[in-house]
Formats: sequence, C-alpha cells, structure tokens
Amino acid sequence: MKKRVVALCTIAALAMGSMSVTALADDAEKITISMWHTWPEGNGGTAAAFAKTMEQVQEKFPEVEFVMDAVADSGDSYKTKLKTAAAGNELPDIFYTWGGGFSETWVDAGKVLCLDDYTSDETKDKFISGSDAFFTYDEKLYGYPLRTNVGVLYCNKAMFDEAGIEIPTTFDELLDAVKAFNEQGTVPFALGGKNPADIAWWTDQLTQRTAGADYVNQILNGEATYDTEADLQAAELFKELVDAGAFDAGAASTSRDEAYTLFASGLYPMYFCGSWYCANVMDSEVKDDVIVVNFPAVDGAAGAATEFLGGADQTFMINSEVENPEKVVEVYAYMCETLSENVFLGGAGLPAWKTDVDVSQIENTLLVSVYDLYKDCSGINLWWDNALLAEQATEHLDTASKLFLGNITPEEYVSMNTEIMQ
Amino acid sequence: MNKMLSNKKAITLFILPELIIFLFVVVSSIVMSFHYSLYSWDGISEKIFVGLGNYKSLFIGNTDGFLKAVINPLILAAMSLVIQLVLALVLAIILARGIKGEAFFRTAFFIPVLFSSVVMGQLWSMIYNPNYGLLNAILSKLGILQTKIAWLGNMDTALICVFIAMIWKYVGYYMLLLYSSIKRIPADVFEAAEIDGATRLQVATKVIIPLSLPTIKTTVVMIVIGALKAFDTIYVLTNGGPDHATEVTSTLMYTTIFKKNLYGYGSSMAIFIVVECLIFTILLNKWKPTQYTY
Repeated sequence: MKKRVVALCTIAALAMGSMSVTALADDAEKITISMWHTWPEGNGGTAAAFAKTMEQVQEKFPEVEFVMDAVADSGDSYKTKLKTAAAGNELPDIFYTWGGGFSETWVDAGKVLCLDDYTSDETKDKFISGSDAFFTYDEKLYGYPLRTNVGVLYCNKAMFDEAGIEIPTTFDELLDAVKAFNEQGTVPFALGGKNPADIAWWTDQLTQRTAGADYVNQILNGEATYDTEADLQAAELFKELVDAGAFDAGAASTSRDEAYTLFASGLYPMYFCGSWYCANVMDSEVKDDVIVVNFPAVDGAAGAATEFLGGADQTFMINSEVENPEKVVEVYAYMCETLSENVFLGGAGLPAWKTDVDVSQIENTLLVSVYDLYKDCSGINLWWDNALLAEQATEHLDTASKLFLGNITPEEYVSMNTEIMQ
Repeated sequence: MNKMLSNKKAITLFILPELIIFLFVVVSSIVMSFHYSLYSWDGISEKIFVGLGNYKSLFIGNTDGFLKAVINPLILAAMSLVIQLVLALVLAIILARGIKGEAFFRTAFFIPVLFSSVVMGQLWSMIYNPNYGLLNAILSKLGILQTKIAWLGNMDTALICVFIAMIWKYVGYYMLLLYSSIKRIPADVFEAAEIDGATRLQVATKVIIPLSLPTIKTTVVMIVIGALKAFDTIYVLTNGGPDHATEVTSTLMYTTIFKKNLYGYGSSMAIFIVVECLIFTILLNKWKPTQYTY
C-alpha cells in the first residue's frame, strides 16, 4: 500500500513539474489582468459596448489574458461586493467604480493606484474638459472617465398630444401639466421610489434649479451650508408636486426596473432619469413617441435649465498593489477611451473622451438629442449620493424618502440636511 | 449501537467535520464581528478602537431608529407564534389523522418552503402591486375597494403585508415537523381514546397536543429565532422601507454596514442579534413540557 502511494505521489509530482515548465515557456510574455465590472453579456446597451471594447482591447494586446467577473448592478449588489472585497483585501487588478464621495475613502486608504505617474499630458488632453473632475482627489488623478450621463426629462409626446398638454419648460408649466394629466386620470410621472436615490434625484435636481449648480457644488464639497431660502424652496416645490399627484401612490414600493418598464410601456407621460435610459426607450414600443427635454427651470431662481445632474461619474480604478502598473495602465487607457466611444456609438451614454464620431451614424437618436442638450451645459453637479460620503449619502436619501411620504415638512427636510451636510 | 457510542474514536470522527465547520463558519464569524464592533471602521481605512462606544450609540440617544428595528421583529415573532403555530398545528392534525389526498396536501403546503426567498418575494410583490396586483384586483371585484391601495408603498400597511408573506412561507415547514411528530404516536393510543368515546376535538386537545409538546416547543424556538433574524424576504419586498416602516434589526444592520460604511457600528448590531437570539433560546428552554410516554 505504502509503496503504491509513494509511486503515485512521484508520478503526480513529475506530471506537475513538467506541466509548470511548459506553462512557463508559453507564458513568458503573457500577463494576466483580473477585472470586475457590472455588464454581464446581453445585459443592455452598455454590456454590448463593453463586449465590443474588450474584443478591440484583446486584438491590440493579445498577450494580455483577462480574468473577468461581472455582477449586474441592480441596486447595490456590486457596491456591496466591492466593499466586502476591499475589507478583505481581495480586490482585483482593475475594477469598475464611481468617483466623488464613493471613492474618497478608497483613495485615502491607499487602495487605488494614483495615475499621475503613468498618465501623459497627451492622454489628459483627450478627456472632454472637466470629465476627470470626479476622479481627482487632492489634484491627483485616480481614474479615467468612461462616459457621461446626465439627468433629463423623458416626455411621451404622443401622450402629451393626445391629452392636449404642452411639454413644460418652467416649473409652473410642469405643475399645470401635472394637474391637467391628473384631471384626465393619468398619473404624470413614473418613479422607482423603492430606491430612495430615485426620489432624491428630484429633490436634488430641484435644489440645483433653485440654488444653482455652483452653490450646490459648494454644499457637496462642504464649503457652504445647506440652509438657504433656495434650499427650502426646492423642498417646498417637491412637496407641491407630490401633493398635486405627480407620482403614483405606489411609487414608494416601485423598483427602478419597474419604473423603467412602466414608462417604456407608455403608461406614464413623464419620467426623470439619467441619459443611460435612452437605450431602454429605444428598445421599447414608445421609442417614436418619446422626446427628451431639460428639467424645467424655476422662474426667478439662480439655477438655469441648462444645468445638469450627473457627469462622468463612473470609472475603472486600478488596485494599488497591482503588479506591472505601466503595462496595466497602458491597457487600461486604451480600454477606457475605446469604451467611451463604443458607449456613445451604441447609444448607452454620452462620451467622456473627445471623439470624432459621426453623430449621424448613431442609431439612438434620443441620445443624440441628449448630446445636443448637453452641448449647452452651463453647470453640473454629480448625483448627490455619489458626491457625498457613504453615511451622509444614505442619510440624505433617507430625508428625501421622508419628504416624499409626507413624514417630514420641507422645513424639517432642510434642517435635517443642514446637519447631514456639515 | 452501544458499542459504537462507547468508541471515543468513532464519536470524534463523526463529530469532527461538523465541529470544524461550526467553529470556522459560525463561532469565528461571531468572534470577528465582536472584534469589529469595538472599532470605528469604514471597512477600508485603518480601524480606530472605540471600546463599547458602538454599543452606547445603539442604546443611548440612538438616532437611526434602532429601537423600531428591534420592536418590529418582536411583533413578527408574536404574529408568527399565533398564526404559524396554530395554523401549522391544525393542518398537521387534520392531515395526520388521515384525510383523502393526505400526501397531496402535505406536499402542497410544503411547496412555499422550497421556493427561494427571492422568488417568493417577487411573487408577493406581484400580489401586492397596486396597478396589476392580485390583491387589489380581487378586492375591487368584490366591491370592497374603490381606490387602489399601494400595499407595500403605504406606511400603514407595508409591515403587516411583509409579515404575512413571511408567515405564509413557513407554515408548511412547521406543519411538516408537527405532522411527523403526530405520525409517531402509535395507533393504539388513538384506538384507546376512541373506545373511551373521545370526540375528534378531544383526541386533538387531550391526546395529540400533549404528546407532541416536545416538538411544539422546538417549533416555538424556531419560530421566535426565525423572526428575530428575519432578513431575506424583507430585503426583497421593501428593503426596510418605505421610510423604515418595515425595518428589522438585520436590514438596519445591512444598511449600516454596506450603505453607510459603518462596519464597526453595524457589527455591534450583529452581536446584538446573536445575544438576543441566545437570550430567547435560553428563556424558551426554561419551559419544560411534561414528557408523556406512550
């Protein structure tokens, strides 16, 4: 028995030995890069753009072998996975993530690679101006931008025409439209309120309109206090909309995916959402009926209708403990630039890198209209839940939920947020 | 059998795998959580030792609704005890005493237990959906309801609706436990009761229930502990919302750790759940039902 075991072990050892020798010979030039992202194959426009990008990357860098792991990011599953991996020091080489407050702790903790040493000015010049702002911490760059997404108002023109209602351009017109739709028994807005962030899009967008993007950026950076008249006005306007029946009674239990589907089925005339949603609309039965417009302006307020929520908030970051950083950044840079273009071509977002794409090639005409609106952009704020630190963000979203449900007054909303934003 | 039980090697061999898994998976997690609960930690940066500071924030001047998140599971436990136990017991007695289609009903009632909580959550969110949900449709057909109710979106109805979904799921499980315990009662006990002229109700209350008390006790412990650490169904249906109406300790813990990045503080909630479950288990074990033999 013992003899046999020894013999088996020897054979096994020999076999493994020879295998590793051949492996070494083959892989002399090869490097392996592990990467996490949120686009499993067949999961919408961005996933297709990403798959195409990876094909191009693989063609340009055949020596690189990618070990991919994809988790569809519905809700927070991917963020949870990232945070868990960071806590356990098990991050991959490259991972999809968000700029602003989300990554601030990561940068402070030295988890991600500073790209300054590996980034030429030539590369930086290719970024659309300002699109690296959310990945820059203490004037150091930690991520390349991938795409830009901004919040726009989706209007089902066919429903508007049928009801004889004009597309609103000011808040007063919006309120009138809400009332008019309600009189005809139509709930005006789709809203995925189960996700408190979707409610906060509203309060945050209104705050941008009443207070202006510059001031909002000061709040988000902790340089101003959230207690002005304009802040209160935004909360009051939101409450006015809710009270006027702008949203469904069930909106607080509607998920974002459901809201997507409900609007795309032509059940609601309006939906306020990021430009990534263009791809869903173009895939639906209402694609010829929907137009995009700027979120309406508030008369006499500081913010203009050409200011946006959003920006280039998504990126890939590189693990600070990555082996071979020069090579990885080289591959990474090509990937980010290619993805920016493919996403735009595929209609899943606006580009974040300068591109000479012929806009008429883009099938997603809705996104092209967003692109036209965005050309006049006069100010931008990151989505607040990404701009703020995690604890602040969660508490801020919570207050938006409370205001929506009528559990607090606009005054209480402002005073709670004054405290949160300190 | 006796020979095997006296063989220390055999005992070690059989217990060891389970013991190792238990130590590494359960005990070590609890110890680690306790360790983290003594720190202020965002999961990424350096940990800062704060002693029992996190526990202090739980109990003194708490601002994140921890008390409500502790009370809600207790309500669930009480509701589950009344509804699940009674329903499971009645179903088990009816089935075990032999009715037509016993095997069919036994399987049918058990099916919800086999569903994953996510599938079940989706199912119930369809039932509760204000626009196309089954519940609103039935109620308005019956003329009870004039306006649509957003069962899960309404602060007043969300909690009860989530609890009903959870209670429904496990009735079949406890029914099966009690059913098998009743099936173990020898037939001659029932024959004797019948000869003495006992009615079906008397057989149930005077024979079946007393003889099943040990299993009923186990069921009670499982129902209470299950309610205290409930998470998955609530997470899928409402995620603790709207505005914390359906918040339970474990969903609050999840939000605290993974959304607010407060790993230390969240871990203190985890330890609270462990201690709470232990206390309830000990208290319930103080109840020693009379052991009847047959």
